[in-house]
Amino acid sequence: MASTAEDALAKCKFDFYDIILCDFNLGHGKNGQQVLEALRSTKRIKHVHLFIMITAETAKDVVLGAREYQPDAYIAKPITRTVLEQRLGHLIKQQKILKPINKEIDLENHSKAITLCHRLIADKTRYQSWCYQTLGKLYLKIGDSDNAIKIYKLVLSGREVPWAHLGMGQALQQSNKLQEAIECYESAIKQNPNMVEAYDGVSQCQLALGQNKKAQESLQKAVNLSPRIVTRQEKLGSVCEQNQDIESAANAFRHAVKFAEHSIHENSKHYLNLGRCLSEWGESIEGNEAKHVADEAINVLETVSNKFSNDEDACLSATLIETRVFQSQDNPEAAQNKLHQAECIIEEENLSIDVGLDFAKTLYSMGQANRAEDLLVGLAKKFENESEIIQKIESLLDEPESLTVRKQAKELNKSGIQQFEQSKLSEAIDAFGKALAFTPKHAALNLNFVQVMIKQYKENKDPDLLKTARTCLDRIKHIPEQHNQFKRMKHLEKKINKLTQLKI
Amino acid sequence: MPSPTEQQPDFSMIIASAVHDMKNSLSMLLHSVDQMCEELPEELKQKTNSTTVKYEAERVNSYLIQLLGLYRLQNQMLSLHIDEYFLNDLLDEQVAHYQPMLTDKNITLTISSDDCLCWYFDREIILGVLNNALNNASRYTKSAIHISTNQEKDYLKIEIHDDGDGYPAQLLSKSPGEIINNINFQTGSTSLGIYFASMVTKLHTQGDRHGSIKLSNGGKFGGGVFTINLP
Repeated sequence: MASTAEDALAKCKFDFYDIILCDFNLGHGKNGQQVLEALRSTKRIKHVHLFIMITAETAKDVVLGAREYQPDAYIAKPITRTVLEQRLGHLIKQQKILKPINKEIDLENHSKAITLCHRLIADKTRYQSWCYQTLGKLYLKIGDSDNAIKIYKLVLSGREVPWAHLGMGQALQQSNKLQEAIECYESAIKQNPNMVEAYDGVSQCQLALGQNKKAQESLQKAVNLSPRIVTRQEKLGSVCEQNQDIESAANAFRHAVKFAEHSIHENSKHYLNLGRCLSEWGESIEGNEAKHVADEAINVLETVSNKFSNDEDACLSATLIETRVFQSQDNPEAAQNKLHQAECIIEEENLSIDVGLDFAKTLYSMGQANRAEDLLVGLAKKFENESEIIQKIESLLDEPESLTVRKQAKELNKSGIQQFEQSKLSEAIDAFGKALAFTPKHAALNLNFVQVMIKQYKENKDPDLLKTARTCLDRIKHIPEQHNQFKRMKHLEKKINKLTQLKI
Repeated sequence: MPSPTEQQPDFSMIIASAVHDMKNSLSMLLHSVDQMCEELPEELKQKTNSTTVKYEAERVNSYLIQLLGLYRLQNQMLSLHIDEYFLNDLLDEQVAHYQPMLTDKNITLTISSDDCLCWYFDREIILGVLNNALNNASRYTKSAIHISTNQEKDYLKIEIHDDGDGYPAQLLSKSPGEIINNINFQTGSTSLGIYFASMVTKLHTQGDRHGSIKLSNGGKFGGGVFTINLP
C-alpha cells in the first residue's frame, strides 16, 4: 500500500507487482494517469502485470486521458468489496490464460507471441477478440502490414469494430497508402468519435501528404477530446508554428506546460517553446494586447530560470528570448542588459543548436544581422547532416523578420508564382519585388525574382533586368552550401554570367 | 461578457452539481456502512438491517447517476466508451452483488448465458440499466428472477424475467417519453429508470441500427419481462 504517487513509484522501482490498484485522484502531485505513464515509460510495469484505475471522475478529459495509457481495467466508484473481488477474479482468470503470450511480448519475442496467439484462436477460447487485437498490433510492430491488414479485414467482415478500423488505418499508413489510411481512420472516428488515436493517425498522414493546415485541425480535434497528453500538445504546437498560426501554437504550448507539471514530461523545453511563441506573437500585435502577451512571456521565461536553474542551456535560451521581448516592447535598455548577461556566459564555439538559434534570432532583433548570419553559417557547417536543423537555419537566414511581415511576403510570393505560371511576367516581377521589400534576404524568393527577370530579358533585352538580377544574387551570397537553394543560386548565377557576356 | 451575477442561474446545472456532491457523499456513506458491517460480530450481522441500508443507499446512488446521465445527455456531454465485454463476467458481478439482499428476501436468481458471449457497449451505462432493472424486479417479484442473454440476428438481447404481477397496462402502452411526462406521485413511481434506459440504449448504434428496451408481460415465469436490445 502506498499513500502517494511518489511512494508508489518508489515501491515499483524495486519490485514488480502482479496487480496495481490506483486511484486517479491522488491529491497533490501526480495523478493516476501520470503514475501509469511513468511506470510504462520506465518499463516498471509489464504486460503480465495488471494495472487497474479506480476513479470517481467521469469527466471526459480525465477518462479519455487515462484510457490512452491503457490500464487493464477502469473501475468507477463507488465500488463495493464483492464487486471488486468479482472483477479482480475475472481479470486474474483472463491473465492466467493470456500470460504465456504476454510473457513473450514482454521479452519482445514477437514472432513467438504471434504463434501463440494463432494457437489460442484455434482453441476457440473466449479470448478470440483479444487475440485478434493483439495479433494486429504485433504484426504492426514487426512491420508486417500485409498480415496486419489480413487480420483486420477478417475482424471487420464480422462486425464494424472501431479498433479494427483504427488498426487497418495504421497498417495502410505503414505501407504508405496514406489516402486509404485516412479513410479507415475516419470510419473508426465515425464509429467512436472518442477514438483519439484515430485523429493522430489522420494528422500524421496529412502531414506526410503536405496538408499541414488539415493536420493542424485533426490534431486540434484530438487535443480537444483528450487535452492531458503532453506529447500531442507539443506536436500540435509545432504544426501550428509551421502554419504560422502563432496564437494556436502558444495555446498548445500553454497546455503542454500545464499538463506536464508533475509528470515525466516536465521539461524546460515546453516553457521555452511557449516563451518563443509568446515573444513572436507579441511582436505581431500592438497596444495593450501586446503588452499582455509580453508580460506572460517574461513570466514564463522567469519560471525557467527559477525552476531549471541547473540547466545552463535552458537559462541561456530564456535570457536570449527575454532580450527579444524587451526589444519588441521598446525597452532597449532592458534588452541590452539581458543580451549582455547572456553574452557573458555564451561560448560561441560550443553552442548547442537551440541556444545558437535563439542567439541568432536575438542578434537579428538587436540589429546585428551580420553577426547573426556568420553565426548561422557556422552552425550550418556544424550540423550539416541534420536536415531538420538545417531547415531551421535556412528559414532564419531567409526570413529573420517578424511574423506579420513573413505572412505578407508569403502571400505575395504565392501570387508571384501564380502570375509566372500564367506567363504574366511583369505582374510576377511586381509581386516578387513587393515581397522582397518585406523579406529581402529570402533565398528562394530572390531566386524566383531572378528567374522571372531572365525570362523577361530574353524577350525584351532590357539590360537593367540583368543588373537587378545581379543585386538579388548578391543579396543572398551569404547562404551556406548546406542551404537548399544553394545549387539553384549557383545555377542561376552561371546563367546571368552567360547572358552578361553575350551582351558584351 | 456579463458577470455571473447578471446571468440567469441555470437551474439544471445547479441540480447537476448538487447531484455530483450528493453522489460523492453517498459513496463515502456506502463505504462506511460496508466497513461497519465488516466489524460487526457474526450473530449481529444476521440480525441487522444492514443489507436494507446498503441497497437503499445504492438505489439512491443509481438514481443520482441516472439524473446526472440525463443532464449530460441533454447537454450533449454524455459520451459513450464502447468496449467489448463478456456478458457472463458482467452478470456474475451483478449476482454476487445482489445475492445477500435476494437471500434476505427469499428470491432465487438464475442466469443463462454462454460463457463465450461478448458484446460491445458502454459498461457503466449498461450496468446502470441492468442495476435498475434488477432493483425493480426484486421489488415486484414474488420468488424468482431469471436473466438470460442471447445473440439474436445482429442484436444482443438481455432479458430479465420475474414472477410478479407484471407491468401495469398503462406502462406497456406508452412510450418512455410519455411515461416520464406522466409521473405518478401517488405510487411513488417516477419511471425515471425506464426513461433513462430507453435514452441510453438508443445511443448504442451500429450502422443505422440502434439499441432499445422493451417492457412486456409473460416470459419464463408469467411475470414482467424487461428486455434490452443492443446492436
